[in-house]
This record gives sequence, structure tokens and C-alpha cells, in this order.
Amino acid sequence: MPRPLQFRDLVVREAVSVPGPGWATVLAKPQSWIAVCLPNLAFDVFGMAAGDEPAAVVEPLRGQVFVVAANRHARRCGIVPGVKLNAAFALTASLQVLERSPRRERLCLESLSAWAQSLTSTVCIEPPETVLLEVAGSVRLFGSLAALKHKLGEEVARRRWVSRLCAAPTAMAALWLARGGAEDVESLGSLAGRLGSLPLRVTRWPLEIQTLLLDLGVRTIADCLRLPRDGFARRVGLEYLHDLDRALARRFDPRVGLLPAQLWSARRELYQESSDAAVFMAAVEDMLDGLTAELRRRQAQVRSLRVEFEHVRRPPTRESFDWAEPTHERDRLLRLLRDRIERIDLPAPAMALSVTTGFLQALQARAVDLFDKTPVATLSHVLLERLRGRLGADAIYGIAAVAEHRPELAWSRSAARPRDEIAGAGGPLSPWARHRPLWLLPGPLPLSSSEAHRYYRGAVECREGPERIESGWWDERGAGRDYYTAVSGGGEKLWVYRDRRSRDWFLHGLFG
Amino acid sequence: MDSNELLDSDELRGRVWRGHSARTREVTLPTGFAALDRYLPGGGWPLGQLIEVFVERYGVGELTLLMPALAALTAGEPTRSAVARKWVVWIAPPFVPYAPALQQRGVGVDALLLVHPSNQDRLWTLEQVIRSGSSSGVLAWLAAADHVALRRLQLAAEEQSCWTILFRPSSARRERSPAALRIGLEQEGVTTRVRIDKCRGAWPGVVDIGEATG
Repeated sequence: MPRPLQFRDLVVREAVSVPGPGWATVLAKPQSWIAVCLPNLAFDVFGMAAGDEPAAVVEPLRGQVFVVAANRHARRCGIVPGVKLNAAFALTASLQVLERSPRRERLCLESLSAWAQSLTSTVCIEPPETVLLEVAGSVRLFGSLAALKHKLGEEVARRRWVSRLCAAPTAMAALWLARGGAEDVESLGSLAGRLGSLPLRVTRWPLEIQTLLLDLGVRTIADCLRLPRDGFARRVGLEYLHDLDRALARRFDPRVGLLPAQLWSARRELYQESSDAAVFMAAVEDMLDGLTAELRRRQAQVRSLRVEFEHVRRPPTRESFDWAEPTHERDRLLRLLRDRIERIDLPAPAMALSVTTGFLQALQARAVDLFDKTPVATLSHVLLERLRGRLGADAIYGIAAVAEHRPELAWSRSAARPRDEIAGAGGPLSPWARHRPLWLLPGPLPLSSSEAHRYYRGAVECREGPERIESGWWDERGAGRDYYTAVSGGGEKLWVYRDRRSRDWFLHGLFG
Repeated sequence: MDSNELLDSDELRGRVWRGHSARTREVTLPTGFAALDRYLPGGGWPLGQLIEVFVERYGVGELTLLMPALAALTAGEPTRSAVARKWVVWIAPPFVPYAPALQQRGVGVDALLLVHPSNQDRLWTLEQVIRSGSSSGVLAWLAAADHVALRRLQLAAEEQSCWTILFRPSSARRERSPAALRIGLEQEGVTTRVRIDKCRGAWPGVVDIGEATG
């Protein structure tokens, strides 16, 4: 007969949602994680690894200053992470002290992650010192896990950072193993055993938790795993139990891959202030090399770009460039930039240039004709962007007819679009269009004004009309007009109207 | 064998130049005006050649003259053919081309592109537009242009067989020009008088045109 369910059981079962040991893995498909642990990053960011003097990076913690990283010479004197600064000075008086820079560390991790995105799409930063890569999908491409690790190791060594690399089937396990300097683990089955021998500090749990466990005689991960789960959850904390479960693939460990930067930017200082287009172009070309390399690596393209010219004691001059369609080709980018920059008129010499792109877009491959006959759509794209680049976007537009009685509102400017995007000859055909002129003046001119006189000679004689247009009383551009087709003494066919309120005559169009 | 028969024989066809055949070699675009079509060699506007139109003032029928050809170039379904989908670019028009009126005359306004460059950029724009290969026609209002610039345009137009209309002020009439066709427009009552100053393959003359014949 089963024992009656007690309240305490319920609470614990609720809290510890994961059942006892021996469960199958929660992973739907095998994963393979590589952790790149940079144990000496706090020091490496200063790029002084090869210095001859003992040096240490320190960080204040609860009113005292501790060493968090040190170089070889300092370590030889006995200065290891965790030593107080006073104690360190006691060990060697010539210690060079650097304050820890979390910002620099973050930037280093980000730049390594950005590079690592060429190996896999899932790259996560695990502060403070580790980058995690999920590489199950990349192993085949690169040949083997060892080849991938080798590539990563080379890159980190190129940056002169100390690193420990470790691969494991879960992210947490890879992270802990790398921190512990352990060997790779290939199968889930051996994971628990291999993790077990790691000391508690690899978890980087808060110090009080680690102290609590040490007081209980728990020194390794294996000791943790040996504790009753409900007791562990209650006394230490549920989240730490979850950490253990994640490491052993007993619990999902969803990780969001680092999103690559949406913009790209670069800056070059000129050797001296300059107004010379050739100098600018050299700097811009240099930056474009970087941009195109980045675009190729990311399989991306850009649609817009901004070049900023920095002046001394003056706001920077900004030039914006738009392409009719996104591009990643260096020549195309360069051609448009050159067209404008060679003619640029700066208010003062520039001392630095910077290039910032608009949002990077995913590259869309397009089929190319076998006989290399460029389609009209592409040609028109190219023409549009060249014209926009040199003349400005406002100087180029299309026109469209609008269903509206007032003549000046019966047409509209439309944005110039390449020829493949055109929806088809559209627009309403008004029944009065027969009596409309081909040229419309930008605005009606009083017929007697000298400006209007430029468009006709002699007396004006009405031939057809009137056609009354009375509309728009609901907005501020209301019109009450009688339109006539008129002929001047010089033979020009004019479109004139008489305003019904003021009784004045206006010229509104030429029949052309 | 008669000499004509000999020239029409398979071996010699197209190899011997005959005086009257020169005019049919060029690609043309019908103007839509019967009188003008009859006069112009090839029966229409020469494509791939500069055509200069001298207008003293606007509103004398200069656009009406082009409407049938413009409609032929721009009308049609956008998917019909690559040629029909090219642009006709207006460079620096003096006023607003009025979309409802253009549509009424059969012009597909979606195929029109208006460009307003500054004065010194006009020739550059014109050359870019012609050379791009994405325009089947260009209407440009061009005040100043020397012979060298026009020659460049002529070469570009030949390459792309682009319908190139240059509206020039009457003062440019006396200047030397590589254009294949140079015409002036006058309004005589209700008829428009086309004064042909220069026409490759035909003599100068005067043509009165009435309504377009479609």
C-alpha cells in the first residue's frame, strides 16, 4: 500500500522538476560545443605578455584590492590571482599594477566571436572569459573536431592570448572542462565521470555558495552529483542544480547565438589635414577593402553608406550614398564614392574620415545569363545609382497620374524605380484628359505678369471652353476655375483659366 | 541577265552598294505623321543618331510632334519585351510633363524618368543615360554644347541605338553639329511647320504636319 502523499513531497517535487538520475538525454540531436577559455584575458587585453617586469591586473572587491591576473614574472614571485594587492607589493616592490578593464575584455571577446562566426553560426560569449561555439554542423566541413580546434587555437595564438580549448557534448560541460583545463569529452556517457573530477571553482558559482559546499565537504562536481537532489535544491539553490543538469544534458540549455553587428564602420586618420580628393580616395579605398572582406565573410551586402569628414573645431561633413540595389562589389561601391568624393566641396580641410554602412543585408545570389547579356533591370539599377550618386536622390523621379479634378493635383511625383519593379501601365484615365496640356506650369501664373509673358506673344484668344473645375472646398487648396484653351498671337496654344472668385486670368499650361 | 537581276542575285545581294538603298539601311521609329514619315529616309526618326529640335519658345507643338513615337516606345505590357521595358528619360524638362495628358495620348508614364541635373551636369547625365543601355529614348533640353560634346553623344547613341532628341535654342542653329537630323518648329495657324535644316539621306525642306495618323 502506497504511503500517503505528504505536503513536503509535493513542494519538493514541484521545485525539483527534473526527476532522478538515469534519464535519457533531453537533446533532440547530438551537439558538440567547443569552449575557448581565455584564463589570462584580464591581463592579455593590455598586450604586455612579453614585458620584463612583474605586472598584475587588480580589481577591487568588498573594499579590498585583489590580483585577478598576472604575468609570468609576477607569478614567479608568487603573485597569483586571488592575492591581495598589499601582499603582492610585499612579495615584489617593483610590481606594475594595472586596473582591470571589463570594457576591453568584452571587446576582445566580441572580436574573437566575430571571427569565430566564420566557423559556425552559433557563437556565444560566456563572461567573463569564455567564448562558446556549437560546431556539430561544422565538423564535416572542416574535416574534424581537431581541425576546428586547431584553427581556433591558431587564431587565439595570433592574438597572443593564453587559451584553453575543450570540446564536449554540452555547452556547460565544455565551459567547465575548459576552465578546469581538462581533455575533450566525446560521448554523453562519459560526461558525468569526466566532469566529476573537476573542482568546484570551475562552476564560477558565487563565492558564498562555493564556501557553503566546501564546508559540507563537497570539493568536486562528483561530490555535488552524489548529494540528494531535493536536499541540494533546498539547501544550495535550485539554479545550481539546474546548472549541473545542463552540464549533463538532463535539462535544456538554450543559448542565443551572438548576433553579428548590423552595421559596419571604420575610421582613418589622415597624416595631415587635407582637402585633396586623392588623399580621401586612398583612405576610402583602404576602408572599402576592410568592408568588402567583411561582407564576403558575412555573405552580406550593403545598400547605403555614409562617409564623414572630420574637421578641426567644426561639426563633421556628412555625405550619404545610396545604391539602387544592395551590393557587395568593391568596384561598384568605389565607383559611386569616387564620382562624389572627387567633386566634394568641404568647408574646411579634413583630418579624419569615417565610413559607416547602413544595415547589412543577407546576400541574395542571382542567376547570371550564360551569354552575359546584362538584363535591363540591372542596367537600370546601375544608371539610377550613378545618377543619384552625383545629382542627389531628389533630382530623379518618375511621374504618375492621380484621380483628381484639380489639375495641379492630378499628377504626382513617384520615386524612380528600376525597370523590373514596375507594376504596369496604371493610373486612371480621366475622361477630360483630352483637353489637358502636355506641359503644366509649376504653378499658375497671372496672365498679365511679365513671367507669363515669356510664354506667349501677342493677344490671347480663347478657342474652347469654358470647362468648369470646382473642387477641393474641403481642404485649403480649393479651386473654382473656368478653363479655356487659348491661342496667342504667336501661335502658342495655352491653357488658361479665370478664377471664379477674383475674376483674374491665369496661365496654367502649354499644349506643347 | 539584266543588271538589276544580277544585283538581286543571291551572291551579290547586300554586297553592292546602290544609291537608293542607303536610306533603308537605318533603323527608324515611325513619327506617326504621314507627311513627315514620307520625307524622312527610312520612314521615321533615325534611331541611334542625334536629332536636334530647335524651338524658340515652348508650346509650339514640340511635344505633340514626339507623342506618337513616345507612345510607341513606352506603351505595352511591361512583361512584353525587354525593349518595351526600357526607360525614356527626360533630362531637364522646362515644365512638368503632365501625366494625365501623356496617358491620354497613349504614353506609358511609368516608363518615363525625369532627371533634373544642374547645368554643368547635363552633358554628363545625358551621356550616362544613353550609354547605360537601360533607356530606349532620351529627351534632353540642352542649351550649350560644343561640337566635341555632341560628337561624344552621337557615338554613345550609335552604340545603344537610342532615340535621342535634343531640344536646342534657336541660337544653336548656326553651330556645326554631328546630328543626323536637325529640325526647327514653327506654328502656322493650326498646322505645325517642320523646317528640316539637315537630314542625312535627304535634302533640307519644309513639311507641314497636321494631326497624327496614329
